[in-house]
Amino acid sequence: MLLILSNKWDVSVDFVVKECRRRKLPYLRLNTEDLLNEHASISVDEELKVILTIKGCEYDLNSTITSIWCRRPGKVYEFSIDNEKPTEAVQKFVHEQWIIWLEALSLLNNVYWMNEPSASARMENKAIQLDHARKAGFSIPRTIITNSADKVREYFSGEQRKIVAKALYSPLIEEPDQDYFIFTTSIELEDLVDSEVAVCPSIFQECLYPKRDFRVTVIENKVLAVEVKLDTPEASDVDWRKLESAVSYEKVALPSGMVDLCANYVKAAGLSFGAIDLVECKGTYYFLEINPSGEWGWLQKQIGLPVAESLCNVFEENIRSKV
Amino acid sequence: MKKPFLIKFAKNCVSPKRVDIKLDYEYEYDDSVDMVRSISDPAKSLAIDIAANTGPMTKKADIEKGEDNKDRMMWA
Repeated sequence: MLLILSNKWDVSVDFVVKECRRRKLPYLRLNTEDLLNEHASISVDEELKVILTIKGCEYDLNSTITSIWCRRPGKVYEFSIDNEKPTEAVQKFVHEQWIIWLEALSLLNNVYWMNEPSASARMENKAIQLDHARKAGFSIPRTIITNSADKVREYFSGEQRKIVAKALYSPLIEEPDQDYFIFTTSIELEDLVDSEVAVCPSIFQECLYPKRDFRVTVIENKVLAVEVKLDTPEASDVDWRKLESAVSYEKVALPSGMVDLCANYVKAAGLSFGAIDLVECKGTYYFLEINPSGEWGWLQKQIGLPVAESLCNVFEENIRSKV
Repeated sequence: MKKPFLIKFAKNCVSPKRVDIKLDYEYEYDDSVDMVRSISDPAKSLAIDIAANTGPMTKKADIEKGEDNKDRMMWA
């Protein structure tokens, strides 16, 4: 049986659930906001027992689960209404207890993970991603990660004045009443403000232009590539995600060497799934970053990219091989 | 106190407070099939089966086509 770790509003999971149901693949969807109302136990006295009760049914995970899709487990109070939430500190405490319980699922015998949480966490680090990419044989843009504006000026001295700045980690800022997103942005070296840059390290990269953007979804050896098409070239910017209406997507075939590079990169990183952002500039493909939990539902829905089917192929193979 | 350099490039996401999203949400989770359905649709179709332009969008849909792995409520 496939165990899906996510939340109710992660609609991309629905594509996989629908495909599982079509194929009659056994699955168990565990939504983290339901954990407050379910029972979960681990005992290790004599033999490992991991028991989960969902919707009144009790599951012995050690004997039933063959694959775990660690898709997008959230916080248990994430969708609770305010007057049902404890203090922020208590929420954090409760969340951490559950995360550790979920991490302990790594104790389960002979289970296939997509992705194993520690591998995902490691590969969230963009410095590690780029280092892996260079070692794997990808071209990468010239990059410095620093909190020193002087180091940035020195690093790019004599080159184009325009560079790219982006966050080293999650670009999402969650304020109580409003979330903010920091897009990758092109700046001039003159825009750097020493005291602001000094607050925390950021990524500063060579600006690749003109460029074509690609989103490459890798599922084990399956490589699904999409080109991000800008309908109005003048709308081109460093971060296509901020464009409102000038973007469309097209399934494409990457050069075979690039396909192998992407698949091998994901495997060497200890992942079985990854969403890689590539750009092609003047005939060279550059690795920008990988997202170990990358979103894909928008591509499945808009252009029929067969991600759910490819995921289910892997899960089905694991289920069948362990029957 | 100085703010981080990149903050000046931050843009508002669409999402209001998460709790408001839940209360106003036009979709509901159907426990019997483990998928989200549209409440407003007469047939209560699955959200993933609703045409791309009218179905659930990412929370940053007005300023972004894409995703972010830390965004746990992509389609709200």
